[in-house]
Order: sequence, then C-alpha cells, then structure tokens
Amino acid sequence: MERDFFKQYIQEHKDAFENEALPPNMLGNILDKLKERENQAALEVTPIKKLKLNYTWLAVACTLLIVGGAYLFVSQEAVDIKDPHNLSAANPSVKVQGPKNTPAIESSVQQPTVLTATTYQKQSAIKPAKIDINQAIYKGLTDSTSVAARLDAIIEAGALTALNQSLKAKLCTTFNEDSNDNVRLAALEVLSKFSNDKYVQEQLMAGLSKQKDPVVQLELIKIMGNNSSPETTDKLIAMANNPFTVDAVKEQVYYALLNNQ
Amino acid sequence: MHLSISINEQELVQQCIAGEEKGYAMLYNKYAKRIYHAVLRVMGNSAETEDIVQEAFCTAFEQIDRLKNQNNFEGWVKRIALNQAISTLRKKKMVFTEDSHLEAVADEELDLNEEFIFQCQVDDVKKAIADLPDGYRTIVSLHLFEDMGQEEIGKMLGINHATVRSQYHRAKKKIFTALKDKAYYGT
Repeated sequence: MERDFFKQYIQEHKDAFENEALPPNMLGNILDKLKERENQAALEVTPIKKLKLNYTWLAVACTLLIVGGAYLFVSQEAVDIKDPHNLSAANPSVKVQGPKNTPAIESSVQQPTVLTATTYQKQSAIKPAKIDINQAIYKGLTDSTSVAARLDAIIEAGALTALNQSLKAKLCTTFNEDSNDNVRLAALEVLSKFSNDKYVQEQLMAGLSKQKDPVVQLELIKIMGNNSSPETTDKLIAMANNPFTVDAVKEQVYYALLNNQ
Repeated sequence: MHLSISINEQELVQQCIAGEEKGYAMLYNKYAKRIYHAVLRVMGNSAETEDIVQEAFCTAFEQIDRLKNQNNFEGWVKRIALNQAISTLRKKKMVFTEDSHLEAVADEELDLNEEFIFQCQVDDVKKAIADLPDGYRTIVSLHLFEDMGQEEIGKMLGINHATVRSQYHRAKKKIFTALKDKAYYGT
C-alpha cells in the first residue's frame, strides 16, 4: 500500500493539533442536564397515575350518567303511556304519534343549548393561542447549557423592532455577563440597534469597563465612540491608560476620542 | 512519595452505572478534549461543537448500561458525537456528494512531493484543513485523525468508498496547494 506522508505527519503532530482548551463548565452543564432529565423522567411517572385515576372516575361518571339516563327514560315512558300529551310538553322536538284519535303533535325546535355551544365555538375561534415571541426569546437567553440556543435567541431578538423591558434587561445582562464571547458580541450587535434607549446606553457604557475581549471591545468602541458624554470619554481614557488593553483597541479608543473632540 | 491512583475504564463505567458523579467526571476529564477536537474538526465552529459534545456525553451517560465493550467508552462516545455532527451538517443541507467521476483524479494528478509537508508548521496545516469545504474537511478529519478507513467513512456518510478516496485526494491536493502558496513548497 502506498505511503501517505500527510497521514504520517498528522499522527506525529496529533497533540499539537489538539491544543485548544475545552469551553468552561461543559462538565457542569452535562451533569445539570443529566439531573434535569432524571427529574423529568421521574415526573413523567406521576401523570400516568393521575391519568389512570381520571379514567376510573370518568368511567364511574359515564356509568352513573347512563344509569341515570336509562332511569329517566324508563320513568318518562311510563308517564307517556298514561298521558301522551305530556311527552310533547317534555320533549318538543319529538314527533309523537298518539293514539288513533289524537293528531300528530309537532312543535317548533328551540334549542338554547345549541346556541350556547356555537357561541363558545366562535369565541374559541376568535382567541387563537398566541405565542409570546418575547417570552420565547427570553427563555432561549436563559439557556445556560447551550451557546447555540442563546445565539439563536439573540438572532430572533435582532429581528424585533422593539424590545420589552424584561427582554432588554436580559439582553444587557447577556452582553455584560455571558461566558461566551460570540454570544456577548451578538448581544452587542442587537443592542446597538437600540442604542438610543437610555437604559441600553447606560448598559453599553458600563460594558466599556466590563468587557475584556478585544473583539467585543472594538465593536463596543465603534458603537459608543460617537457618544461625547463626559462619562463615556472618561471610560475611553481609562481604557487607553489600561496596560492590559490590546494595542488595536487602544488605537480605536484614540480614534474615537479624536473624533469626539 | 508519589501516590498514583489507577482506576481502569471498566471501573469508571461501573461507577457511572451506579450513578456516581465521580465516575462521570473522571470519564469526561479523560476523553472530553479528544472528542471535542474530533467534532470541532468536522463542524468547524465552536458553538455547535460544544452543544454536540455535551449532548453526546449526556446520551452516553444515560445509556451507559447498554455499553457492550466497557473498555471502549471513548470510541463509543466519539461515534455518538461524530454521528450527531454529521447529522447536524446534513440538516444544514450539506450533501456528501457521490461524484464518481472524480475517481480518475486520484494519484496521477497529485504529482506534488508529499514529503515537503514535514517542513510545514502545524498551525498552517491546521488552517489549510479548516479552510476546506465541509465535505472534504469531514473526510480528511475522519481519515487522518480518527484513523477510519474509506469503507467505514463511506458507510458513515452514505457514499461510495471510491468517492471517499477521490474526495480525500482532492482535499489533500487543496491542502498542499494552500501550503505551497504559503511558500513552503520548494520553488
């Protein structure tokens, strides 16, 4: 078989190809998921018991209804035999052939219960189940176990034209505190759309001193660079003076400060 | 005095079956990095890789009592994770093509001196592999890093083994060309 130098190279340097660190807290997430699933599995047992109980009661209720109905029917028939006119009074929708000398009795149908059912149907048709998109996005943002889920939620939030207060606050928290750089960057991109909002502006300003990732810092400075408030300027100067700030970020800071002068 | 505690894989698996968190943690610490990199090479991005690896470990730990060969936990989890990665790529409409006409490409076209690869930096080779299209990258990763044969890769991806072979050679050629462009190749 032909010798594959490329494969040989890979085998010799395999460790060097796998030098990236694992994302933090993966084990914690795995253990949390396992516990969550165990709990879910335990919970699933209870509804089955409840369901069985419900079926039993349903069966009892049905039996009682049938017995009651049969009793009423039989007792009604006993009365009808004595007085056929009584039947028409009790059940107006039924056409009754009375004794030979009695004419057939037919009355108009009047069913208020049917009307009620129709009204109910119409009402339920008018009110379809409304899915709250804000709630769904909020839920996605709180999924600490999945970076992809949080990114998806942020992308959905980006498609909205307005954010409610809780979602706004959650996005700001995500931007300032999420453990994943990509998630923070995506949150920043969405928040930049709403940078005219006072609360968002305050949070973005706070980010100037909180964010440590150079890529996020660069984007944040680009967004906040046009803000000439003294507080922003102070924070930018602090970033420029910070010895841990990367050169590229410092350059962006100087550029923003010069533009604001 | 140096104390070393050696617990074999079978014991760790038994601990997991008993639901002991320590067993989960030790198996994870032992294999997570290799499995993470195997999936990362196929997926090409870290966010989805993280989710897939987490899910693979969860599935494995949940079904660990079904593991037949208790000394091959790594191979089992890796297979779960790689299958999930390939299935995710498929959901993104990525197709592992059956381009049998490429079979002709094979070795004749690949007239590069392969030994020059030993002069290359790992980071450059890594980047050249990462820059490959998804299909090529998957085949290269499975063959070179996971040491899977063409038949096995073909079964996994649902394509002919000859296609795997031709695509591997094409991918290799692309990598070498990229490295050559970086002036490693003797001119």
